[in-house]
Amino acid sequence: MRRLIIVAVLGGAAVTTGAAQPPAAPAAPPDFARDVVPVIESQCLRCHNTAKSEGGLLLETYEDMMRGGDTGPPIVPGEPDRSPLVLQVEGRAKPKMPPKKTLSADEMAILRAWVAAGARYSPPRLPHPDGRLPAIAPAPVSPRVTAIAWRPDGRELVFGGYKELRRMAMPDGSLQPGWSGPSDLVRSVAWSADGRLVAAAGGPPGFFGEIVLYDAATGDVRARLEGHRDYVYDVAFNHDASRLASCGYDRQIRIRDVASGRTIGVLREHTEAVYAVAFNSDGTLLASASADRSVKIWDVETGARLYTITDPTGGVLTLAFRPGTSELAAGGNDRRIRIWRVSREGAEPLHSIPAHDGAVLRLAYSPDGSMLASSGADRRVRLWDAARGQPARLLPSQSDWPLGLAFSPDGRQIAVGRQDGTVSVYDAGTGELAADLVSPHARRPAGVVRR
Amino acid sequence: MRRSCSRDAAIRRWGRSPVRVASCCAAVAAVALWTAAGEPLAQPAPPEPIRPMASHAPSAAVIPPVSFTTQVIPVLTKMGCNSGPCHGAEAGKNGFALTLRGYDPAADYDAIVRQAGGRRVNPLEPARSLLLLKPTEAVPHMGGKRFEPGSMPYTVLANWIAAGMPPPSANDPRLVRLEVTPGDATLAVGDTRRLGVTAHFSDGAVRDVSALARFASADETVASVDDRGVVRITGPGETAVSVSFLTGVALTRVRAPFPNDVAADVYERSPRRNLIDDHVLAKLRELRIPPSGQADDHAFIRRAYLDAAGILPTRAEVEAFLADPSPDRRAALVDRLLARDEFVDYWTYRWSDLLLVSSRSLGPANVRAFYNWIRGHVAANTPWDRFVYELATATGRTIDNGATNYYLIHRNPTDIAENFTQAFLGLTLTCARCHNHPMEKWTQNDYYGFANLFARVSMKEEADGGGKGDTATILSAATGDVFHPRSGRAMPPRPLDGVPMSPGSHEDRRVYLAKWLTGPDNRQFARTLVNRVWGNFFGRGLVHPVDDLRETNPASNEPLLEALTTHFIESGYDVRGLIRLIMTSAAYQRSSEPRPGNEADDRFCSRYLTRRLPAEVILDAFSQVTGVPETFEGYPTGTRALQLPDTRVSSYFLDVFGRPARVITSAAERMQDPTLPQALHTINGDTLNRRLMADEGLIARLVAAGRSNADVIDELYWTALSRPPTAAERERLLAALAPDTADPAERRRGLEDLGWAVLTSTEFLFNH
Repeated sequence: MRRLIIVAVLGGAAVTTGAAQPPAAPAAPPDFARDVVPVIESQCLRCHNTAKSEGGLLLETYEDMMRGGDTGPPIVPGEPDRSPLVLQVEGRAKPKMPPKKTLSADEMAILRAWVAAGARYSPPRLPHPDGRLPAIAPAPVSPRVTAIAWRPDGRELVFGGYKELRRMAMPDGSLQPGWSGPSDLVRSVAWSADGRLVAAAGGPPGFFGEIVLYDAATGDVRARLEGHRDYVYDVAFNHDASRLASCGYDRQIRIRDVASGRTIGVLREHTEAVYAVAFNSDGTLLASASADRSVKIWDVETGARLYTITDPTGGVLTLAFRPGTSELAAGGNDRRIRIWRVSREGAEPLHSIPAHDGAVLRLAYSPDGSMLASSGADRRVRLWDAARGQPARLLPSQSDWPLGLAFSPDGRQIAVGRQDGTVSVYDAGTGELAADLVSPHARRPAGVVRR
Repeated sequence: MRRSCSRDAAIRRWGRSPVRVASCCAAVAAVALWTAAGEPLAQPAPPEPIRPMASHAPSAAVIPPVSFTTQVIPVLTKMGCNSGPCHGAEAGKNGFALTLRGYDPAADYDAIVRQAGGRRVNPLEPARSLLLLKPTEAVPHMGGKRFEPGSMPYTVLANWIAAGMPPPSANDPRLVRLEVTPGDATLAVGDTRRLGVTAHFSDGAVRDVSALARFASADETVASVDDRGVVRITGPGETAVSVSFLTGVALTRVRAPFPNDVAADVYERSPRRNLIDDHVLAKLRELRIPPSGQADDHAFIRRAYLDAAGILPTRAEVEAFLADPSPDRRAALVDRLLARDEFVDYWTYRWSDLLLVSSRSLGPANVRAFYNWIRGHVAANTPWDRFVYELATATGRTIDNGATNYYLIHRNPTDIAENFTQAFLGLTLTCARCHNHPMEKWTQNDYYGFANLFARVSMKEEADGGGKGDTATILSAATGDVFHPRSGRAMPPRPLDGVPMSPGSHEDRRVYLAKWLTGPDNRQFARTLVNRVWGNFFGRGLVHPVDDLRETNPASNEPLLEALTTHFIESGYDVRGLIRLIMTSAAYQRSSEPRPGNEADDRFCSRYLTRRLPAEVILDAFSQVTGVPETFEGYPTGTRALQLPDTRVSSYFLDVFGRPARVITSAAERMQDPTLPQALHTINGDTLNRRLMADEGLIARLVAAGRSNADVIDELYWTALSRPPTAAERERLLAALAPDTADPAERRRGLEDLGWAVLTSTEFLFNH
C-alpha cells in the first residue's frame, strides 16, 4: 500500500499552510489532505510513484504533483478546464487516465472542485504512531549518537539526539540546551560551510523522513522538510550551502534549493536504501552510496546520473570526498575502503583497502585532506594516510559501534559518537583519547577536553 | 556453486522434488499422559505483562529478564519472521535479513539493533519500534499482520526492547532437551489433543514453551496439528508429530486404528516365518488392518526374480518350481536366486547407484575398476561394514583399488561428507553447509567437523591422458583442513554425535571415521542399510523415503526396523542373509490383492504393494521375452541394462523410464512416476516394436516353426507373466487373431500386436 506524503515547508516561503483556512463548511471546496489525497492514492499512485513514475510524473507529494512530469504541470490552479489531470480523468483529454479504469463521479467531482478552488495545499495528516500505541516504559538508555558535526569555527559540536539536536560548547565540552524540532531520532547532522545553517535529518522509521533546518545562530527552525517516505539517513550541504541533498530508506535522493526549501530533483535509481550522499568540492557532482552495492555519481544541475560504480561487493554505507581533490572514498559491508578519482566522465580506482574486521560504518576526511578516518562494526576507529591509502593510527577500542565521526576544523581532533550514546574526542596526531564527553546513561558531559 | 542449488537442479531435471529434510534431535522424552478429552493440558504460562508507562522512573519497575537467545529468537521463529520466504531468506526482505530460523543470534541481534541505522528498534519509546509496528501492521508490512499488540509475541519483544535490548551472550543457557506431553497414544478419528512442550536448559531452568514451539505432522492424512499444538486425528493409521524449539526436536506418535471389524484369530492364524512376521502382524493388529493371503506360486516366483535379480523367470524355471513338491520350495528358490550371477548384477547396479559410479567424472578404466570392486564384494557377500570401511579408507591407484575412485568422483571434502552421510546414514547434511539445519539438530559446526574428516585425502594424477578421472593415486595426507566459513577456523574432525579426534592425534582421519561408522555404537549405519534393502522388496522403506532417516521422520514400524537392525548387526552385517530373511517372510510373500479393510494400507505390509518395474528391468525383460537383445554403444551385444557399469551409456528408453543420473546420492534420482513420453515411447517407439517385428524375435521364430496361435499365446504368457493364460483370455485372444491357416505374414502381424498388448500391460510392467 502506498501512502501519499505531503511536503510542508514551514518558515520558508513557498507553500501556504492550511491553518488559515476557515473551518470546512458543507459547501466548502474539497480539502487536499482529507479529500484529494485518498483519490490520488487509490487511483493514480500505482503508476505515478517513485519506482515507476509513468510519464515522469510523480504524485507522491503535493510538490511533485504541482511540478509535473514530462509534459509539464498537470494542474493549473483555479482552471480545471486547463488542467490536464482533471481533463484526462474525465476522459476529455487524451490519454484518458487511469488507462484501464474510470474514476467515480464523486472522485472526478472532488478533483475538479479542488482545482477550481485554487488547488490549495492543506497540512498533512502524517501517519504518526503517537497516541495509537501502548505505552511501554523504556530502560534508562542514552539515545544513540549516529551523527556528529563541528561548527566551522570549531567552537561547538552538534550531535544527534532523540527528538532534539544536542549541542556542546567546545573545547570545554559543556552541554548546551538542545534544539527541539525533530519528531524522532536524528540520524544525520550537517553544518553549512558558512556556519549559518544546521540540518538535522531522521524521522520516525517506517512512517516518513524529515529534515529540520535550523538557523545556527538562534536555533530557530527555518524549515521542516518532509518528502522522504521513510527514515532519512544522510544530509549534506554543497560548498556554498545553496543546495541540500538527502537520502534515505525510501531509496530516494532529494536535492533541494536551500533558500526556498523546494525540491529541485528527486533521484530514484538506487534499488535499495541510500545511506550516504556527498557533494564534491565545487558542488557540481553528487555521490550516493546504497545498500544496492553501488555508488552513483550524479550531475547536480540536471539530476542526471552520470554513472554507477559497482566495485563494492557489499552494501555501501558511507562516502566522503577528499577536500580539495576529486577523490572519493566509500566503505561498507565488504569491509573495504575504496578510493576513486572521479570526474564527470568516470571513476578511476586508486585504492581498495581491507580496512576493518566488520562493515565500514563511517568515513571522514581531515579538513586539509591529509588524513582519512574510518570507523567499523569491529568497534575500531582507524586513521589513514589519505594520499597513499596506508594505515596511520589505530584509536583505542570503542565501547560500541562508532557511528558519528568528524574531524575538528583545525584537523587536530576527532569526535566519535557511538551506538551506546557515548561521545569522545581523540587527538588526531597521536590517536589518544582526549576526553570522554558523554558517558553511558548520562546526559551530562563526563569530562572536559584536556589540551 | 552451492550444493543445495546443484542438488535441486539435478533433481529438478528428473522432475522430482527432493524429499530431503534430514533429522535428528535433542534427546526426546515423551511421557504417556494423554488426558481424557478436550485440550486440557498445560496452558502456556502467560507472558509477563508489558510494564505500564506509569512514571518515567524506569529504575523502579522490575524488568523481567528477557533473553534474546531463548525468548526473542523463538518468538521470531514461531511467528515465521525468520523463515525462508521472509526475512530468513539469504537476502532478507526489504533490506531486513535474519538468519534462517535464528541459527545465529549474534548476527540477528546486529540486524535488529544496529543495521540499517538502527531503524528497527527504539529503546527510548519501545512501542515506536518497527519491530513491533511492522508485524502488527501499524505501518504497512509486506508480510501482513503477524500478531496483535498485547499478544504474547508482542509482549516478549516489547519487554526485551524496554529492558534495553540485552544482547545474546556466550553464557546464555543452552537447550538440553525438549519434552512433549502426552507421549505416544492410540486415539480415534476426530479426537483432538493439545501437546505441551517443556524445555530443559543447561542452567537447570525448566520452561513451558508450548506457545513458542513449532509443530508439524509427518502425515496430514492421519493427524493434523495447528500452531497451538492441538493435534486432530484426521484418518486411520499412524504418524508422528514433531515439535521443534530452538535447536531441539522432539517427537510424539499418534495412531488411530482402521474402522475394521477383524476377528481376533486372523492375526494368530496368519502365517509367521520369522521375526518380521511377528512385528508386522503386531502392527496390523494394533491398527486393525487385516492381512491379505499368501501369493500363489506364479506370482511369488515372478516377484522374487524381479525384486532380487531384476530378471524374469523362464518358462522352464517356473514349471520346475511348480513341479517341486517340497514344502520349503520357496526358501529353496530364494537360495538359488541369491546364488545367481544376475543377483550379483542387480545388487552391483544398486550399489553403483549409491556410490555414483559414472563416466561423468571417471574415465572408462576407472568406471570399470570401481564397478569391478563393487561387484567383487557383492559376489563375495562381503559384510556391509567391511565393504564401507574399505571404501572410506581406500588408498592406492585408482585402477588397482577401485574403491579409491570414490575420491576421484568427489573432489572436495564437503561433497564427500554430504553424499557419504546420505548413502550410509540416510541423513541430509546439506542445509548445514551454509547455516544450522533449520529443522534438525545439525549445526554448521557439526557439518564442518564432519567434513574435516575427509580433509586429508591427497590425489596425485598420472599424466596418462590428461582427461577427466584418469589414473590417479589416492593417499591419506598428513595435513589439510576444511575451514568453517563463518569463523574461518578448522573444526576438530568429529563424526556426527561422535567424539572429536584429539588434537594431537596422527591417526588417519578416514580410519577414525570408518571405525566410528562401523562401530558398535552407531546403529544408524546398519539401520540405513536395512531400510534400503527393505525398500527394494516392499516398494517403500520402513522409513520413507528410503534415505531420509532423520529422527523426525518415523518408521512405519519402529520395533520391526529396530529388530531387523539388531538382527543385521548380529549376523555380521550379512546383506545376503538380510535379503533371505526378508524374502522368506510371510509378509513378503503376501498377495498383492487387497481384501476388505486393507485397501488403504500402503505402509504396514498387509499386502504386497504393486509397483512399476525399474527402467533397466523393463528393458531387460523386453529383451528376455522377445529374445532380441539390446545393443549399448561400446558394450558387447547381449549386455543387459543391469550389467552396465555406467548410467551415461546412451539409451533413450532408460532415460525416459527414469534411470538415475548418479550425480547426487539420493533415492529421488530414480524416477518411478509415469510420464507421457513413457506412454508414447511404448506405443510408437522402436524399443519394443523393433523387437516384436524382428525376424529373429520370438513371434517370428514361433510362426516360422509353424506353432499355432494357441501355442504362441501360451508361450507369451509364460515368459512374460510367468503364468498360463486363463481359458477366457485364451478364447478371447484366439477370436481376435487370424486363423492358424492364414498367410504367415498376416498371422505374424496379428501376433506381434498380441505381443505388444502383453508387453505393455500393467501386469507385465508392474511387479505384483
